[in-house]
Amino acid sequence: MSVLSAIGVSRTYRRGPEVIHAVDDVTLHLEPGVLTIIQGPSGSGKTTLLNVLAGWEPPDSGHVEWRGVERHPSTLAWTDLTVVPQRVGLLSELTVAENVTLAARIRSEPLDTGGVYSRFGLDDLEEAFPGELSAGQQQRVAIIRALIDRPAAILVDEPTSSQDEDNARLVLSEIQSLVRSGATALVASHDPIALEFADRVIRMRDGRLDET
Amino acid sequence: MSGGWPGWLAFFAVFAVSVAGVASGPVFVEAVGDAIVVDTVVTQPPVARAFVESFDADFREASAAVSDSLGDIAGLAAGPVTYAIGANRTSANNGDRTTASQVRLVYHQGGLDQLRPTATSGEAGVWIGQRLAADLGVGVEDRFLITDPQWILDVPIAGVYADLDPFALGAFWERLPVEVRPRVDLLFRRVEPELVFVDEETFFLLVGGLTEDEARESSISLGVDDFPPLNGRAWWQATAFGGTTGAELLETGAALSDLQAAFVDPTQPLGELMRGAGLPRVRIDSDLFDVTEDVDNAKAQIRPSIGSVQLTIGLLGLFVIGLGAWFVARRRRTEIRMWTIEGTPPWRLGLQAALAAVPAALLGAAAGTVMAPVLVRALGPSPTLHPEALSSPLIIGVTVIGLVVAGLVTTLLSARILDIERRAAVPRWVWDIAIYAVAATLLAQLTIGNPVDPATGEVDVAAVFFPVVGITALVVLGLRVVSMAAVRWRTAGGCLPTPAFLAWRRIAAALSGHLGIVTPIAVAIGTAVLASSLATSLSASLDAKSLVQVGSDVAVPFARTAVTVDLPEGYSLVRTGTATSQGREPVMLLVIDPDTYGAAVPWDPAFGADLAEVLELLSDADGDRIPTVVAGPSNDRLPSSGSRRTQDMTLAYEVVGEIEAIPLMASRRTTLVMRRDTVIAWTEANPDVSGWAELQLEAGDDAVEPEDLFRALQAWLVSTDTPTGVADFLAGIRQPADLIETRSGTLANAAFSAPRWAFDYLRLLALVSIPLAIIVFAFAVVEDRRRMAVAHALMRRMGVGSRSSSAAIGIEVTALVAVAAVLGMIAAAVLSLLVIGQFDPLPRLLPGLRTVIPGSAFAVAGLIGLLGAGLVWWAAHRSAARADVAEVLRVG
Amino acid sequence: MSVELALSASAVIKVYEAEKGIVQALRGVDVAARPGSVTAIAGPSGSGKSTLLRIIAAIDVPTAGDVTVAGVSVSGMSPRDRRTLRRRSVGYVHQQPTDNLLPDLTIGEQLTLVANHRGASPADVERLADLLGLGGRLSHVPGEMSGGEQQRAAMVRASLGDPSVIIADEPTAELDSATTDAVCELLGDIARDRDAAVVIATHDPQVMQAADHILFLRDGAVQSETFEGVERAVIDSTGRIQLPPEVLAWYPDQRVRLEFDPETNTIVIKP
Repeated sequence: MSVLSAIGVSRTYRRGPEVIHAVDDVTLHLEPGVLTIIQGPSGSGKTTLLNVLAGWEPPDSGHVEWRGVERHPSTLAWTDLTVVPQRVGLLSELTVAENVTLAARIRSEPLDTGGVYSRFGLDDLEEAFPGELSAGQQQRVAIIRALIDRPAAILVDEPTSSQDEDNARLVLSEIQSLVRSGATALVASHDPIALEFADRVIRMRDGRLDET
Repeated sequence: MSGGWPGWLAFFAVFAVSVAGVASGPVFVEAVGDAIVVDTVVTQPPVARAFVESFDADFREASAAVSDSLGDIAGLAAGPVTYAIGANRTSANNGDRTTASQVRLVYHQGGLDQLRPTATSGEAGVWIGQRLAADLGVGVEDRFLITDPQWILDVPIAGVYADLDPFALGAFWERLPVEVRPRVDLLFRRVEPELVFVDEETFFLLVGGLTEDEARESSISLGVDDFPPLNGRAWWQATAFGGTTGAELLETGAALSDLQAAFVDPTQPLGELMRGAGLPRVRIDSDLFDVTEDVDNAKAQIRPSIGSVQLTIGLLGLFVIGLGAWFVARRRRTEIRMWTIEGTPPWRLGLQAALAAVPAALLGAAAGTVMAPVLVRALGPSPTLHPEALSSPLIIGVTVIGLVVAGLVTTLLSARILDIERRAAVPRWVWDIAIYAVAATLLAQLTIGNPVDPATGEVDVAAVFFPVVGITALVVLGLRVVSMAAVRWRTAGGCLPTPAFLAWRRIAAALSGHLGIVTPIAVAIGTAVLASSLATSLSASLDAKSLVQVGSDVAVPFARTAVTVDLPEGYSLVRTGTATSQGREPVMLLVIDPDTYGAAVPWDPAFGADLAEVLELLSDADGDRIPTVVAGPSNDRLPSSGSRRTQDMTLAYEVVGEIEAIPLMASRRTTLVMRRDTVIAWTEANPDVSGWAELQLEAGDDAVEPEDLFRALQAWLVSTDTPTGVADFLAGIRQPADLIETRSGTLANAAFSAPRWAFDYLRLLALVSIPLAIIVFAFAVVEDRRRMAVAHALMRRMGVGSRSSSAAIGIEVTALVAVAAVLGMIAAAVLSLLVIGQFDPLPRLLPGLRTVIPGSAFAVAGLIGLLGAGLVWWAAHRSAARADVAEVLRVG
Repeated sequence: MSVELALSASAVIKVYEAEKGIVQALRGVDVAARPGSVTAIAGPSGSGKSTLLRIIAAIDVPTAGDVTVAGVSVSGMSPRDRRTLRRRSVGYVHQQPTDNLLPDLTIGEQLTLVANHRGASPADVERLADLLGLGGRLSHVPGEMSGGEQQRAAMVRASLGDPSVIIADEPTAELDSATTDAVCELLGDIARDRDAAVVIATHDPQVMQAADHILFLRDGAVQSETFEGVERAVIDSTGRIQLPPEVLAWYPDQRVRLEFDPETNTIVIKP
């Protein structure tokens, strides 16, 4: 059974005089062990879908289900669902390590980060602050932060936009690794490299889904 | 090119404050003028006076015209007219008996009704006082002569009146012109002059002012045929004064000046009339003219100091406008870069920025213009608003210059926009060194020069600038230290509970990075506290100095030296004099009466010791010498014991203590203070040394009172009573009251008041800037929150509850404001202790400046800071709660 | 197509001081572009692409070397003259759509502002907008448009007036492949319509395919050029050739023998 689903979700919003149907009656099931890539014109459509699935905004019609039960995603714990928005969103006053372990800290659980930093090419940067890192490095930290708590579902928006080819593959393979262990992932990306890691590819056009 | 609405608001606020500060200068000067006028007591309403050639009909017409003109002036009403004849050597004579006093024949309008007759004949004639009647041995229905070297007038007596008491004339007779008002001649101990009253018709009959027909028709028969030339003909037109406000006083004074000019100008109808009537030199006497002069002087004196404050505020305002423009330009740097790449010259972008700022500037200038008189009134030496003193050129000038600065800054930034990423920014320490250098320069200038001109009270621009610059320098220094510490413990605090942990990190990040957020609050609070300290210290010092200058709240030099007077509670006699010794510099001697001194003189702690202590020390007599406390500049050459001579007395003294100052001491002269009782006791115990024996010998049979000891010294009556109370007391003991000096009068003097007002004003403006700084801080925090909206949304998703988040914001904001407030207050305290001593406006008057740091300033600043922190917390919380993460993620 | 070069740069060196020390951004780069052509400058980040773009856009001056834009030499120009040059002869498209357009004005209004600034007419605005498929969008603000449309609007902006060179810094980095396709098609159209040289910095293979001429930069120097599909190594002015790193690995001691075969007109490199 699917982990996270959007059932008949529609979402419109206004931009000045226009009403834009960002998401138009979309039904999407994210199954465990499946890495779904969603492609589409940059801007509203797929970001809005991700927003709805993440619980940042409510659908105008339809609903979101978690493990078959209707649920508002904002009530989900971080260990269930993690999100990596395009704007990375690291807390600039915390070190890299503190950003990564923040959720665990709140849960009062110890977290073994192991060799994850060196795997991602961030050796010796654990005690650095995000402001000292390049855009690509920050993005990788955000990915680590989302993966390290081993969530059941992960939503990622353009994880490779600031990565060169090698690091892009690295990031995608780590996501794939999590998926292989039973999680589900929805990755919005127009990077052709991402297609190599996809189990399923969906196109979004004018708010509707197109399977390819 | 807009800055978004926070930019508008910031610009609006800065323009408002700058314009208010600069524009209020002239208004403040007017208010000072007001204050002086309001404090002025007009003791003598205007009186028109002249010598008269002839009391004929022309004269009477002229007199009526003067009366009308004076009555027309707002605030005045015509008072009684007085005519008189007689001069210094006019006297009364009855055969062999002559008065020693001068005599005047007087008509005083309404006077006869006010006399208390003791005898009357019911016939025509003159009225004389009892004393004169007794001197001449005459009574009702007798005749006597008024004689003058040049003429004699033979007049019948119509009545005898009870003498007027020169010390208790009463409201009506107080209005007699001073030349004919009875007073006690201290030398000859008699009342001068003796007044012979008549009614108007009789007067004109006697002086030949009636025409033949009028004389014939007159019902009065005086038996006077001859009209010899009568000298000392004089006429006065008194007025009753009704004006109350300062503005009215000045108006009346101006109208009087005009009238005075009209009277003596033969080309004007009034002047022609006067000349035709033989009154070519009518003079109006009034201390209203003095008031006008006093006001002009005071305003002229305070103008430069106010100018200094204006300049400071203007420059600071421009600086902040420049900063604001820089911030706004930085926020719009993408746009600026785009246009520059398109090839737009920097000056064009600067012009656009300036034009964009015009609405905010105009609104701000309008608000500032409205605020200015209100601010002055709130601070105010005077509760009257003076909007007419607002100077449009000044307001327009400040606004235009502000816009130019905004444009220039934007131009500068635009010129560098393409370089900004490449060139290394000016290292921070350069800015730091710059501000330290400026502060040090100003400090040096203050130390070497005199921040307050002792002659005029003018406050140097450097003195007004220094509080702000000095505080900024110290705050920057303090923040650097805090910043270095913050960097060190940036990574500490890992074991705190989540809200505290998050707050700690945010605080450490804020403090170790850009300090811009905290500096404005710290500087505003610090300046407010420092300016408060300055103002309070100055005020306390001026109070003490004025006390020393005058002697008490009210002081009068006392004419009677050898009479024991029963002094009521709150009055005391102080004796002062010079005491010399062979080959040494003369010192001042001051003798106080321990029983009455405490209640009559408000002792100031600035004098250096407790009054009770001083009196205690002074009573410690062991018979050998008089215990003495030395006041004033330490005089190393004054031996600790010795003797001094005042006129005929020698006093052997022994120094038992020192104080800095005592009321009535001569400034800058060593003063020996003694107790009256110990002086008397010692002189009586050592009659040969002191010269007491000689005195007794001299006096012979006459008793020599101990008080005679002080005969050679000047006596001062000092009191904590009101000036009116003291005047009444003096009248009661038949002493003249014209030499009364008051402490409030001295304090009103510009040399005293100008520096105090200047710093009061600076304090007010610093206080106004605290909320402004907090508003700027609020914007920065809210802006920050928006920027971090995504990060914080994720944080909440990770499990940080909204209460935790809110608590974290609260802790962070409170801590930052607290750090700012504490830094500002410490800087203010340090500077106060370091430099306030430099600000002595009257360094030659003791006591010196005492640093007073008012606790209330800290309390008020702290309270505002706390409220501000609360406001910011609320704003940040609301903004964070409302941030639409989805929108942010979508739009980017 | 005129024979004169729209853009010519030779031996461009750029050295500047940043916080971390002295940076040699460009070590002697040659670029030439004819009007109507599309040139791509490719390379990893840090290769000096952006620096090179800024120099040929007359935003920066080279430390050494000669740059001529529209027949005018840029080196040694005052900032004022460079501004004038940019206004007249250079169009620039930034990577971020937000850097290209003002958020509060409609597209039509903004483009008219720029048209006035650069001496073009409102008719030009409409025509170019049509050419780039933005015909009905002129009354929209940027926030109401997709990323692709925004970049196309930016291209209109850069093409207004009479630019000899139109420069774009990674214009498709934020676009998806379909939009990128569309934009690439238009690059050629614009180049021909405006008779300008279009120079694009990119690492997107789609864009490189659309270009006539590709320069590969690495560490501030030109590694190779591709012209009409053929990639060639570049011999710089000191006679050095940049070999690809994998080839370089074959010769660890960095010493080679060259054999010239006159029959095939080839040089063989032997250890």
